[in-house]
Amino acid sequence: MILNKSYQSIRLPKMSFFSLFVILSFLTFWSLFNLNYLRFFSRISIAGTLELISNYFFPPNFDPKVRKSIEFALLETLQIALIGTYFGIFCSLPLSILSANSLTPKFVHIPFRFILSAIRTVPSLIWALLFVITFGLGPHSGILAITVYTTGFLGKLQYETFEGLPSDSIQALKALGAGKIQIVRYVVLPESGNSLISQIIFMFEYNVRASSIIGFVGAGGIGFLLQLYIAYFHFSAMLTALIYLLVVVVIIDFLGSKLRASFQDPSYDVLNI
Amino acid sequence: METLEIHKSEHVFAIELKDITIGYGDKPVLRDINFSVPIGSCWSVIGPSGVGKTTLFKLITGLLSPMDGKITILGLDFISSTNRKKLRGKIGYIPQNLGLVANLNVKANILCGALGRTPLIPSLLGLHSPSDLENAEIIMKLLKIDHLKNKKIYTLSGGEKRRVAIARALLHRPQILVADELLSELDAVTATIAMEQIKRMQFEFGTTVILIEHNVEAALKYSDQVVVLSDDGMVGAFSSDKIPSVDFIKEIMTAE
Repeated sequence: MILNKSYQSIRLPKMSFFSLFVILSFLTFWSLFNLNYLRFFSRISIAGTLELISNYFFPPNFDPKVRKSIEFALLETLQIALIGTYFGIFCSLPLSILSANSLTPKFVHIPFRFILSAIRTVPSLIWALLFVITFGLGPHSGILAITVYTTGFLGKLQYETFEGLPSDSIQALKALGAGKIQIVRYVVLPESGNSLISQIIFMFEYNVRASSIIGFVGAGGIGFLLQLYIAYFHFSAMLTALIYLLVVVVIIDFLGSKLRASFQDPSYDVLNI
Repeated sequence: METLEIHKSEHVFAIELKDITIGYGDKPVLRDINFSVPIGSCWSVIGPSGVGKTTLFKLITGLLSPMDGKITILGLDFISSTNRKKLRGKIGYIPQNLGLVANLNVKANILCGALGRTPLIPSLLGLHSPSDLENAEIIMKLLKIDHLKNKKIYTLSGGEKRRVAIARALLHRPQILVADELLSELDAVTATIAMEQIKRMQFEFGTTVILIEHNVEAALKYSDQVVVLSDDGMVGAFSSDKIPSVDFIKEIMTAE
């Protein structure tokens, strides 16, 4: 398989599952002690947190003014996620085609893969921070951050899908005299269409969660509001915002998974009988 | 087919194999293969399962390079990658797994046969020349798949898929057509219709046809010459009208 060629050079020494588990456990607990992590589980801090929650968070503040500002911020979050995903698709598609080893030679796909992984290495929160510094506070910086991160993330998912396509139809079209761009149009996109749509829906779900965080660094959306509520000790309003966010995220995740299921390849069942 | 005329005047053979050894990795499957297929003829390669027929198919279509020997296609050394690029689109093939695009419909798959001569921008917009569209309709009617034209490939039966692959190859009109187990999964009537159309393409456009078959009767019926492979390698090339009987071929195929 061409697909696994690049991974074959990196091989771990053979070890049993048990020995791997022991090594992993040792490293985890060593890190835990090393970070003096156990002190966070002391009774005092847990009791303190519970006291803070019971005294200041409850009851949630459903004042019409608070609700209105939360609804506005939440809509902004969804808009940031939507716009970021939309533009991310257009940026990631050409990059992923250039990164697929089944479609381009080594000297093309290796640098483009590097660009995609470099984009992914920087979390969306840091991208947001960079854009806030460059372009100022507001949702526009959030949109840029989500677009850039989507490009890196979606790009990887897409090129892996392209590489996983069976090579026989690509070979057959080459023999028919089709050029590379024609092969992308007539084999790559139709054959991976359903997976691409599923990935886009998944990415939107992911971006709704990411867009609610990036507001903490001033890139708009509900995160910005949450940060203000924390700064001004409006914990009951913050709880309301969290409830709203939870409901919206659960609804979007539910709709997203339903929608993704409907885009499964219809031949999938036939092949798995 | 102007290009074909130029090639025709330059040389007589479409495919020339000289002392070819082919295999996978460093394990040879076939050794000392020698034969030359004249332009415009129809040859068959026959042999029992597992002798390397598909390996030979891969060699002629450029999917596999020989371990040793020389292969010349339309007068060009086929081992050089520049020549392989030059010959792309001139060698059409129907592999055993057909290489159809499962998520495109029948008509779109057949029209892929015309991609090599369709300019880039119209082809990306899904536009084709009126003559290609007309030919596609005619071919679909002849092969009795016109009622399936809007169906996706994954909804078709094995025999229907095979007819689509044949239709695509007919629309392609390559200079050389190589088909691997083309006639299996087809009923006798459809096989006859398909072969009639391939023969028509052979006479009208001078296409050289290579059939890789294990059905000896079909191979003898449709081809001018048969290359017989056995477990020991290539037995020889025989003119199909000089072969006394099907049993004669079966005997030499299995002879120790």
